[in-house]
Amino acid sequence: MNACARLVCLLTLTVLLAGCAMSGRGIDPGESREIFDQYRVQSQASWSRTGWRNVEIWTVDGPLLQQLRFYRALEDGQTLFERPIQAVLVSPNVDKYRPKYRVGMDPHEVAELVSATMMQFGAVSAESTELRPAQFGGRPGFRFRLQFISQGGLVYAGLVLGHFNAEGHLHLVLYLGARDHYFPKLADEVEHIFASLSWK
Amino acid sequence: MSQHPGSEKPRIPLHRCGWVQLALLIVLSMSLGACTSAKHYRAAGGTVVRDNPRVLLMPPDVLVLEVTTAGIPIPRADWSARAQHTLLGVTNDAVHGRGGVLVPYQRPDEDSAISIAEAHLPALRLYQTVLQTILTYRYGGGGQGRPPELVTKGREGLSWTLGNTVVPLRAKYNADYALFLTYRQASSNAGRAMLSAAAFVLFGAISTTSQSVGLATLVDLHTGEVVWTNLLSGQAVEVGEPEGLREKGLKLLQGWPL
Amino acid sequence: MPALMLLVLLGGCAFDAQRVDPKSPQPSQPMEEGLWEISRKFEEAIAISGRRVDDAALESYLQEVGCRVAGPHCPSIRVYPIIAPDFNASMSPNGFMQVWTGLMLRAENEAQLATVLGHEVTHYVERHSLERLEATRRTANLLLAAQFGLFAGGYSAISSGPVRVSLGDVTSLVAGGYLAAYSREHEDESDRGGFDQLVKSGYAAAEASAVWRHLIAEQETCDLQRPAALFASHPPTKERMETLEKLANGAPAGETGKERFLAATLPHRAGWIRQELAQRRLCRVKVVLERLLEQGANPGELHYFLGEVYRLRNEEGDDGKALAAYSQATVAAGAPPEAHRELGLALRRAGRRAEASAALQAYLDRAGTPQDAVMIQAYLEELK
Repeated sequence: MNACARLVCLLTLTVLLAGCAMSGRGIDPGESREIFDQYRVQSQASWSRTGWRNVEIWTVDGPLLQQLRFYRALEDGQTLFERPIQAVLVSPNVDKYRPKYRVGMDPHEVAELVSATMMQFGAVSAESTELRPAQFGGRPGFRFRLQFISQGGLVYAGLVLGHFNAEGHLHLVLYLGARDHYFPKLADEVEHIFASLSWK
Repeated sequence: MSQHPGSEKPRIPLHRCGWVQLALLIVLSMSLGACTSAKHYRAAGGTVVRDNPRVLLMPPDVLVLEVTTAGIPIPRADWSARAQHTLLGVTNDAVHGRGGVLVPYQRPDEDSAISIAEAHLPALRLYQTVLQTILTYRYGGGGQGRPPELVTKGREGLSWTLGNTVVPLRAKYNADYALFLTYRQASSNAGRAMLSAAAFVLFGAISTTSQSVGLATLVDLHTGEVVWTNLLSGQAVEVGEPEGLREKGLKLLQGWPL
Repeated sequence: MPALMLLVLLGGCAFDAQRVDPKSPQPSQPMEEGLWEISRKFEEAIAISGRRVDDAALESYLQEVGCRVAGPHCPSIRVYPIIAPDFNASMSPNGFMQVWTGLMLRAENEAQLATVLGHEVTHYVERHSLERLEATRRTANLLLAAQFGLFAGGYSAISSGPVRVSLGDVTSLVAGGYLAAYSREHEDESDRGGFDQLVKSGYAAAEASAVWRHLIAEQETCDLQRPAALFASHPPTKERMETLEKLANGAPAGETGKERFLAATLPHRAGWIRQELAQRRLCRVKVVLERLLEQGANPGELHYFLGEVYRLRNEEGDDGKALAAYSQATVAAGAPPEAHRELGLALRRAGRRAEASAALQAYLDRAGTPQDAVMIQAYLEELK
């Protein structure tokens, strides 16, 4: 294994899920929070929070155990996960092969986009199921479930809520967690957050 | 032909990037350049200590390597076996000292490559991920400043659980706790030590010639809670002389709630 | 790769280990005991990892083929199918072998699979890992150690999120390092040894060079900058292929084992193609699909995935090609119900409402109550 291979090793699901360090910020029970100037959601529990340019991430027990990701509306050609800088060092071609959102996709294509992204980042046998129409802050959207296995064999569950806005951009909220204990622990809370979603 | 770097994309990472491995990467990274240190945490809500505890010893992970002049670690099966024997001796004494019993995990099938029964794998896998989270938020920072903080977890104590995944373990062994032990050591031979001295003269830097890391964790099998972790790092000790290893063993169990 | 050249020059034939005695397959010396210990840990990590294909039937099929080419070494060889979308297989010093799903997808018959397994078994029998380690140890060269990535005291670390993650996990590094670089001599020896075993086991000798030919085609068509994983340090050159072709000329006739191979692998094939698609190396997937189509098994499934390639590629004219591939799938043997769904969705995107409805209805009819039935019903409502 050469240095490149070892660098590539780091582009794992672990790194992806671990995200950047969760900072000192938090969400209090009952707090209503605005997501990227787009919409508001209300939590019932306490959460730790962090974010990047296009995604805000909440967790209670740590991002490897469960996390809730709110995306800024995805535009044509954008990807679901920030590309770790190391990936570029290893292979300048890496962008060429990343699953990208395309305006005009239908919900089935979004479901495939999400599971393919997970697989590229190291999830084994990622699968999207139970796709169905759903409300996204009172507007028509869709939701589906996600299941995948980590490299180490831990089974994860996921729940995804999506909506295409008037420009064809994709609003996406992803809830992921270890199927044992950590996903179910906040499943009701997440349903409540989904239901609380209201547009600005 | 064998494991080779990938084609032209961030390939699916291989075995080397499993959860255990990544956890150990972090452990090792913190041992770099560090002098001997041990840090433990206990359950945030306190631990109910049971009288005469039955402690299930999960298959220990002990590995000792010899580092050659070229910096190549050569695994030494004989040293590993000796080190494991000494460390388990210390552990056994410690449990007995509290009126308890150390129950070794039974390999399900002598011929199988897998030392853990199928029914216990969910607990093991969740443990590895919880452990990685604890390493990040309690031991992270690589010795350079404080670990990152989760406001939902604060900076002190442990509040993580393996939930119901421990039920089959408790059912089979009727044990109160599960104890996980990891110990890694790379000892340099004389040639390597010389080389590092040369590096000091030439570059003003000391390359670590020998290092050891140990990690011990106790899980309450009644509740699934992780009640204690201890991370030890420092220099390697002479495997041939059990005193050094006994001392490592005692340090490794430091602060446990039993 | 200058470091590699040096490795070959210095490490080449420094040490020739005894072949493994099948009657007592044990480490031959203390250093090899260490190698085996590491390999055992490594094997356990893989065995309980998420990447092991969870299918006993497939695993025992691979074991059978492995045994056939391993001959007397059969009891020491353990073959695991590993979920990974590329052409690769690997052997550990203790007889633990990994066969990637991307390899099984690309093989056309048992003889091609056996070619690779025979090659890997030869690495084990000839103790190539020990030879590499010994050669490296003897040359005591820092550059060599760097090539192996085995600096114990010099783990490079990069900042990655919440913690500085060191790259130096001992177990995986050592295991990976010892496995990573067989020399050219070792590869040639394993090519020959694998070929001999292939012929001895009664397989069709011509299939050995076919494996090489297909990979060269995949590489050339898709203008790969780096070869498939298996060949990163020893590319599948035309020369290597031709050597095997020549060897096959004088060999007795043998079987390809195509029927057995298909029976064991076809149930998994769709999943393996999906993994390849997730990597989005669409050119390579297309080359593989088109070659498999020539082989004939379950063409409906292959046409369906060709449609997926065009849909994802989304270049000028690909909409039409995807539509054509989906609709070809629906009338061919072995198409999954999803072929009808994708046809319906493609027609819906093209605004061909009536045809879209018919295809989506066909999906529901064939799939019973699929997991996405509610969504499909909603589309059908909207298309009325």
